[in-house]
Amino acid sequence: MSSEKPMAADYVLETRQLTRVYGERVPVQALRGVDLRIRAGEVVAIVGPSGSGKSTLLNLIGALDRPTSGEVIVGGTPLSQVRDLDRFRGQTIGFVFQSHNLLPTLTARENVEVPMYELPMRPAQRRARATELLGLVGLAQRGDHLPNQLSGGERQRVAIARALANRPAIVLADEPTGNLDSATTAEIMALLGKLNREQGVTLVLVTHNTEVAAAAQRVITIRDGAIQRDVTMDSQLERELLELKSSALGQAILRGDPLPPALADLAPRLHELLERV
Amino acid sequence: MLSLKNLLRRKVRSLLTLLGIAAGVAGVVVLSAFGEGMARGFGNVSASGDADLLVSQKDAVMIIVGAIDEGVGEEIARIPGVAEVVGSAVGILQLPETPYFLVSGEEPRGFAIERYRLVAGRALTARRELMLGRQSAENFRKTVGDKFRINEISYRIVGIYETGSSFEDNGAVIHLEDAQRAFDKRRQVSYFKVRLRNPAEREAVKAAIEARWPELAATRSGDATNQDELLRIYRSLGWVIGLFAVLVGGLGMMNAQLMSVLERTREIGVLRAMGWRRRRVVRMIVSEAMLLALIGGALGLLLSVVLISLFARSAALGGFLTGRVEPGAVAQALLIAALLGLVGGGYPAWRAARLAPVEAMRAESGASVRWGLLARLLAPLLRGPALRNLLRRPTRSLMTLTGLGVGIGLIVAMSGIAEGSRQMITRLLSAGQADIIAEQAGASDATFSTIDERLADQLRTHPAVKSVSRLVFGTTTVPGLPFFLVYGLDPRESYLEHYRVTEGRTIARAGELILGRLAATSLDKGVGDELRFGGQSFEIVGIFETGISYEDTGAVVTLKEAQRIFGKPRQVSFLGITLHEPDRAAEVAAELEARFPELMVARTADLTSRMQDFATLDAVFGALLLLMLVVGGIVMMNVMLMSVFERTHEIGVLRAVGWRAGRVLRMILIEALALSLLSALAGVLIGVGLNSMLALLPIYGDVLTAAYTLDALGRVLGMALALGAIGGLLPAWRAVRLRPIEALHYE
Repeated sequence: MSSEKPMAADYVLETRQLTRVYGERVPVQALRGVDLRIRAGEVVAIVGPSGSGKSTLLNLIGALDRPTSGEVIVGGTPLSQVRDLDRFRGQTIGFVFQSHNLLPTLTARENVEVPMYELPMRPAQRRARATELLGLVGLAQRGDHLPNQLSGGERQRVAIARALANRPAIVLADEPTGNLDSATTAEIMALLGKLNREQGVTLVLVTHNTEVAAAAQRVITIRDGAIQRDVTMDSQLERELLELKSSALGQAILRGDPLPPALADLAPRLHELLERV
Repeated sequence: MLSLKNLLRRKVRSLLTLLGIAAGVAGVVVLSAFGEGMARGFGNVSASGDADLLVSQKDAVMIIVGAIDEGVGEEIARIPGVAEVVGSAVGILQLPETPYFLVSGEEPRGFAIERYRLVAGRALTARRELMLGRQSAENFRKTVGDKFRINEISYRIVGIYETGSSFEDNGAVIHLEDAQRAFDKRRQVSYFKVRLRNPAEREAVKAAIEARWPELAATRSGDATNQDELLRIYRSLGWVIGLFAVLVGGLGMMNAQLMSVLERTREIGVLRAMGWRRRRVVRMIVSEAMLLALIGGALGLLLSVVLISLFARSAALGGFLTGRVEPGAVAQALLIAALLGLVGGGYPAWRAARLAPVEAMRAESGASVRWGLLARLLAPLLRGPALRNLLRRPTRSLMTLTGLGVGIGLIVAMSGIAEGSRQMITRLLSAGQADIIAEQAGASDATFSTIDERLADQLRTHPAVKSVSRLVFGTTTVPGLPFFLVYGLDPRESYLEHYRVTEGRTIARAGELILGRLAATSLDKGVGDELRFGGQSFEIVGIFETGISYEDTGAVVTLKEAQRIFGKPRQVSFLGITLHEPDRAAEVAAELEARFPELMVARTADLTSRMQDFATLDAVFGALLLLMLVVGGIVMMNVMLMSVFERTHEIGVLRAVGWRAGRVLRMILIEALALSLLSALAGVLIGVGLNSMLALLPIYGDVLTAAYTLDALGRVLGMALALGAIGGLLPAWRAVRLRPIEALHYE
């Protein structure tokens, strides 16, 4: 965790005592006072079991839903003071969904143009920007294809290009690799990592895939509507440890399974380390 | 019951489909009831079985326009075997409340009056007395002792009668002599009724009458003569409209059922996997459609019963309706509904049965798009999510387009023909030269118009008038042409110049005739041949060609002869007036109308808009247009609701990426409008195509010449926009109301 106390403006996203209660007769508290700060350029993974409240958190910071109490501040603007959430969402937040959610009747390029309809752009400008974005995700040659003519990974890349269309302050990705095989997952995560390094895109990923979480610099664990753990991996070492944790070996160590003799001595120490990350 | 449960799953869709069918069925039943009433009304008027023979003009298209000299009756009475002869003068008058008011002039002492069964008061005995039909009495709120005015003359109501013929029960009976005055039929009757001493002698008497008067026909009472043709036209018109309703409604229904199969693809896969055979799947889908169709049909029938009994009570329309729904109409409605069910359910059922179970179970609901060649070709033309969405379900768009296009096409075709006849009537009556035209004020139909020809001389003395031409216009039949138009013109007047003779010469004296080119071709007659009609033989002295089909399918004879044939002694149908200063036409027309209250005087350009013939036609169109808007609007709304429904998730995505409610609304509306405009385009093509096919019909094709105006195009466009708006607004509103987060989680 960071020890400094930066200015509020340094945070591209901040939540204060965020609470969301569903239902009136039988209230269900999905979030109980979540405080969260995310800096520009960070890659954050939000993990947790299903029903933990991570989707609720994503909806609230994505301006798709309003909190019962508390505040979400995006780019210094408290959402409670934004009257037109649709416009705000369109201009500050990019979404990548579990299933690509592309419009099936539009080509890849036209799909990337969709969010730009709300901006004062001429059709030619929209087209140019969409072509540029498709180049960025490595699909420059596939712009005229319909979604069903693309592979699953390609579709998700189009969805990522669409999320970047309006130069959003944050890209929110809800299980972005949920429908993909592991090779494609790695490919998509590599792309997201590249976009983060080269374009400075702030990424918030909701996932329960440990491989995906391993690619993040910071992993926030949510349980029962509250943040249980918030770990920032400053070093390469930590990241590698996390990778080890998600491997079969790591899982065996954590379970305390019997290990090969060469590793047996190291096991308690490794177990301790893996517990920490 | 599984089918019923399936229908209840999408209540709005089922309800809309139901309403569409109900509106279509009701429209057809009501329209055909009118057609039937119209055909039968004319037929029944003289057809009660109280006479052994009915003597009428042989070539008259309708019995009531006939005119026979009264003296003929006295001679018929002298034929051996004849017991009694009575004449009746029948006419249709325009009253402020109704354009078609049947007035029968009967001899109070004759046997013909017995058929008016009294329900109140007493029978007619003297002039200036009147018996009123039961339905008219109700509509006009009159009873025995009240006064009733016809053509500025007041009559005392002495009785109320009932005959069972809607036309008569919506009319009145007056003294024969009063009627002859009212209709300008001095010493003339429309037909005679003859009673025989011995009915077995019927054939002998009939032969004697027809031998003595070749222009007359003696038939058994109730035998239709030329009315068969009219009846056939009205009936076939009813069926044509019915067929169109089946097409529009059937395609709308097919759309709804197809959608319901599509969204249940996975479910049908499961049913098949569990061992359901294709036949059972087909039965399920078809029985859903049949259930909808039959409930809709029953609802439509109910609606038409209500509408018909309402219309029967109105003075303007009552004459055409008995107020009862005939068993035939019920059968027709149910047949249409069943056809709708089969057509609407058959194709979707076939599609459902074709699904391979394994593939069906894996299907996504409505998210994937598979394009054929056509859709791929069209895609670049349709830009933007709204237009492109029409290609999501190409079959559905195509069916909607065809269904609405067929409906719009029918309207385009009919209004094209109406416009064509409007233009032709105008050109015909003006002969390309008149600035203003006079018709009898209050004539229900151009063939009924009678003007005293002495008015022509009075008009000629008016300082603004340059010339006046007289025209007698009538319809008769000749072998080979059921509707043969005959124009009577004075050879000294300028109207005759309009009929340019291309072969032979023009008429100069009685017994001569010039024949239109189209008529000459269909009758296979030429210069020098003879043509017989109206009990007289004419020598064809020339062939003319004007390019106006109403003229080119007819003939021109001298004014005097036309007056005799059509029973208009010293009377004409129209007066064509040319002015010294044509610019002042409107002003002069108004002035003449004020001076001669018996005339309707109009500028040539305004003529048809003031003729009752066209007002009736317009009313029919109004009804059709309304029917189309209701049925089409429902079909459209259903399609757009489906389109929004299957895109619920997508709309959520659009909202998530920042689209505002207004843009989603606009997208749906644009889609609906684009679909309706495309339908209008299809409709114009279908309508124009239909008319060009009609033009190929023998005989009728020559007369049915269509014309299209910018105005008509505007109306079609307006209708398309209305359809789009009606069909698009509710679905668009539904789309906007979707909360993005819920839409996103919608599966």
